[in-house]
Amino acid sequence: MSTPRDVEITVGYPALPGLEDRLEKRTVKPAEGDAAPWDATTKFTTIGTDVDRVDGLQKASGRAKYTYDITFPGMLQAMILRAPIAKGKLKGLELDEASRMPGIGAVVALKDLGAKVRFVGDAIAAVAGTTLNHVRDAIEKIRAEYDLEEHNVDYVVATDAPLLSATGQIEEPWAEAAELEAALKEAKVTHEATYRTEVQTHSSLETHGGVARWNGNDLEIWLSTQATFGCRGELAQACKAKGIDVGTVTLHAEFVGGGFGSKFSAGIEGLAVCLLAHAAKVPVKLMLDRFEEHTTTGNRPGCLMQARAGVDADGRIVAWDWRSFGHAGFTGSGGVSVPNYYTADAKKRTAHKDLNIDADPPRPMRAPGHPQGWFGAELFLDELATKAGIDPLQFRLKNDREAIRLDQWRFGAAKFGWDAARARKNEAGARFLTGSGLASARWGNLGGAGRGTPHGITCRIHQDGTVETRSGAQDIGVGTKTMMAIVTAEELGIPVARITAMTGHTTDPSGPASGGSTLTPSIASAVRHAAFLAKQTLVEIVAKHIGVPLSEVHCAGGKVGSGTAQLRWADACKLIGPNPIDERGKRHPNYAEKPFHASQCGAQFAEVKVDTWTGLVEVTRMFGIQDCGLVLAKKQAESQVLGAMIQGVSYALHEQRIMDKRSGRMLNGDFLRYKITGVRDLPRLECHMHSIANGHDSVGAAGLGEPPSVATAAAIGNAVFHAIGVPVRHLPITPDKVLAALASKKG
Amino acid sequence: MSNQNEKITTHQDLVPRDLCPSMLMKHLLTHSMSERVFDDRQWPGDGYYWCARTCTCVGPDDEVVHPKDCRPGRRCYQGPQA
Repeated sequence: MSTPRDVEITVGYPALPGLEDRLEKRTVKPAEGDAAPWDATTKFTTIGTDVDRVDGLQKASGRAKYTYDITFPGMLQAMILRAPIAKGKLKGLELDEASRMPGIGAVVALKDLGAKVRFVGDAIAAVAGTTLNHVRDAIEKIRAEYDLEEHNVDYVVATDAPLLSATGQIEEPWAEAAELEAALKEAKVTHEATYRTEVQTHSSLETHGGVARWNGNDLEIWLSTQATFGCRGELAQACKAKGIDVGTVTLHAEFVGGGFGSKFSAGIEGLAVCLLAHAAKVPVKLMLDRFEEHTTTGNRPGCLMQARAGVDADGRIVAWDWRSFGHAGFTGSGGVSVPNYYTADAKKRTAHKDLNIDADPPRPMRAPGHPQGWFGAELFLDELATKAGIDPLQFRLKNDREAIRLDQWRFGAAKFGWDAARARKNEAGARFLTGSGLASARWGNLGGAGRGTPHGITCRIHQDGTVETRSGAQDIGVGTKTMMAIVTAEELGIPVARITAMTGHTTDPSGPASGGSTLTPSIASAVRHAAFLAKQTLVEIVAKHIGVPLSEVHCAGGKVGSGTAQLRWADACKLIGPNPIDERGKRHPNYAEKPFHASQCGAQFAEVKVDTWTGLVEVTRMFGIQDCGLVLAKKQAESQVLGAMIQGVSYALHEQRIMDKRSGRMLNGDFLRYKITGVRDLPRLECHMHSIANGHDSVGAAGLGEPPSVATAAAIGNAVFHAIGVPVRHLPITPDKVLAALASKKG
Repeated sequence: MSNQNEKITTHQDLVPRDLCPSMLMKHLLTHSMSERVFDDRQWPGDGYYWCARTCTCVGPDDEVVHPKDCRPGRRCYQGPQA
């Protein structure tokens, strides 16, 4: 092995309009055999251009087959019997009568006698039958008996929740912290307030579930998942634990109708469909219904947050004290994150406590802990800035320590028209009040090679000039296939139209789960490496054919050759022969050298119109700027940002789980009563993709799924504060809360 | 006081060395254990843990799955013995 060569690259980004560039030279040491890194000076032909989603027509025309669409002759349908109680024990379970019902192929218990029941919707048993009507009839015949225990589904009154005043303020005294207290005492302006968010349930359009069939001991399963390889291993282990002698497990998830963090585990529904198919000896489909989706597949936890802080005479934050209490269902995962880049020099303290209740536990949801924490922190910052007499943008420019975001604040403010928007005065007594707000975003993911065997990609070049790029990892709808096609096209110098990208079959090379914004940064450079290796092989074939030294042959611009001896791509591929070039690329580790920036920065601006008669808030326009390292698939990246903003509008104004305290049951577990932003609610949305060469691997992509979802609700909350002059500190910002805030202002 | 002398902590740093291999979490599946932790959390990941043998947040022993609990001494523990 020879020592990898040093390569000098340019990292950073060219100047945003009206600002200076941030470009730096850096020397990195790529792994042996890897492609030379792309950097800020690379002239791309496909990357960063507008390329349509490669599977868009398949999806729009209904030809894309999701798990929900999979069907086999003789396949049974299945459902799960759910517990109607929030807390207790299963003391009796009689399945025989259900098993004898007409059309029933299998009935399995999912909970042992004596086991705890932890929430309404806990899985008790599953039934497979010819039709869902047969299954419903059989489920009616299952006799389940429970020992009931007292339950609580309200985290605000959990045993260890903080005491709240009549106005919703946390009343508990703060713990002693001498340095912090001293900093607060010395501050010119101090402020303290309590914030609250509600539970947002997972609402993927394709519900959780799968289709399973066994061939002897071998299991083949189609699963709506965001972790093909993780779920394959999980199901093998779970089936073995149930006494099944499992051979191979093959998992398919070529198209997935959303995940957002709720589909990492195969779930009890995934295990149930495998057990039913094994017992029935025919394929079985089990997809959750919408109520099950709202009540059993996780959520973004609600939380209480209390903050106090102080600023000095220059408007700099000198003290920051933050505590949060998160609803954690019956487990313990109600965490809240808050921005740390405003408070680098402050005396500070953060603390969090989970509050357990008898409800479905949270699961990761697009930037776990962040939208709720940022809502509280950014609104708190605006209140603090107002008290200190400083414009919210200027307050952030004084305190934000991220150089990239400082540029984004300035660029975004100019693009949004911040100064004019903030200067606009509402007429006294006007029914409609407008306001503008802003908020920041942060995430940190540059991907990696993976544990053990690095993430892999197959690239095949066929004799007819077509190219395949394949990953066994899933595309949960974000445009992974398009990204793979674009990177391959760029490396090979051919149009995207020649390339077929395939994802979601565990027969292809392994890749990571889609979560934490890891997938693209973790596989993009493996995609490139596979194409790079396949290109080298093609170049060798062409060099031999035209009789030119290998070092003189190049593959670019749809041609392969040297000087005047150039073959068109299609002609070069004819030399390959019947067996395709078939190379496997791998994700090399990130360079040991420090990247330009290890996190991703973003900023969003929102304008709202508030109806003071009804309390209704309308978001009228939003602008977001977001960095995701090198922008590979521009249209799909923009789609990610705009989609996150739409989800954020929904979180800010509409979504909340409403629980019946007496029964422990969710009262609005459907799309009729669980309000989600619709087309008519949407503002004019614009975004700017801020492409940055971080220089951490041969491609330089960074995560994008989570970061743009962090700022939206916070920016809207601040815009409402600006419009009506009083903060609404409780999400979602529904009309009743706006009217109450307006009344408090008058009163 | 936290964060005064900021030390970089990763999710891997928060994993007990004797954790049961059946305990799963997002960061294991996304291969992101070396990712930096930005806050004061005591346990790795997002707090959502489940068992590969039950596909739920409850282990084979009917108790909640958590890295503080899925360790030697628990009835269903399947990791390497020390």
